[in-house]
Amino acid sequence: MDEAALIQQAQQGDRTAFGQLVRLHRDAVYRFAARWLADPDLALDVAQDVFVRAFNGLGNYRGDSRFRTWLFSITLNTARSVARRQKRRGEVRIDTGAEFIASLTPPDAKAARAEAFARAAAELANLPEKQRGAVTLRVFEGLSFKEIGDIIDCSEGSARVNYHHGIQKLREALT
Amino acid sequence: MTGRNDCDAIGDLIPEFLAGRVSEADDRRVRRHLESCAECRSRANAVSLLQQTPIPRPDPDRWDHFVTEVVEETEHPRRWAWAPRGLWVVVGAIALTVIAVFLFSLLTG
Repeated sequence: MDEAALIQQAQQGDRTAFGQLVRLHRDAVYRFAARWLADPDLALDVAQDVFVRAFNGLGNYRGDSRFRTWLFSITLNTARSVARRQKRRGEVRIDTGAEFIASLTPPDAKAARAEAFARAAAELANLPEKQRGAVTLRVFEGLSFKEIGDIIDCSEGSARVNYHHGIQKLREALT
Repeated sequence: MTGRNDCDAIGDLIPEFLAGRVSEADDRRVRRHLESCAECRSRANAVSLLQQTPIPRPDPDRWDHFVTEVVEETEHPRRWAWAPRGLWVVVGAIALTVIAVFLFSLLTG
């Protein structure tokens, strides 16, 4: 069954069809949340919440954008409010995933690469929200600036500017 | 020629270029530009580093049950899911205090 048919069935309350949609998009939603939040546990909570919200809001999805783009909008809103709540509580964790390179590379190169990845993840997490959103969606998800603008709530041109400013800051910080 | 506009246009293409998702013509264009523009090479290196940065892995057990849990939650929403975790700590502390006071009053007659 194709995605459009699954969406239509899910909109009529079919949870099996919705489960298929979750299966199709969970990697992308988790990936985006994990890159944006730099915290896998929190990203998993957010991803779960995103799909529950998506199910409850399926009636509002009219098919004007790709379903994944719509899910990314919900992901960004959810991640943003979670991050703000955390910041208020003073709990900020940056997990770069660097430990997972452990078995892949020899010790010296491993340490240097882990450090470079940790810095990259930390610098990405330090970007202002819109720049972080634009960079994450462009670099990792390959979205167009039009789609990015829809998600981060600005024009296509502004999404492009946010992306370039973000990349420029990262370049300065990482070189 | 490597003007500002050229750099921006090439910058737009860098993620797809690095992922091997550009046309042959764009591939040649980006390569030519990067050979002559140190600043864009430096930006491309930053993008490349980001693209190689591993994604933090989720808890495998939670990941395995992810779809089931989401679907279950749409059927039976957790009524108190909105409450911040700190609230449960406060509620627990109050409950323990009440129990302690009750037991103390029983013991002391």
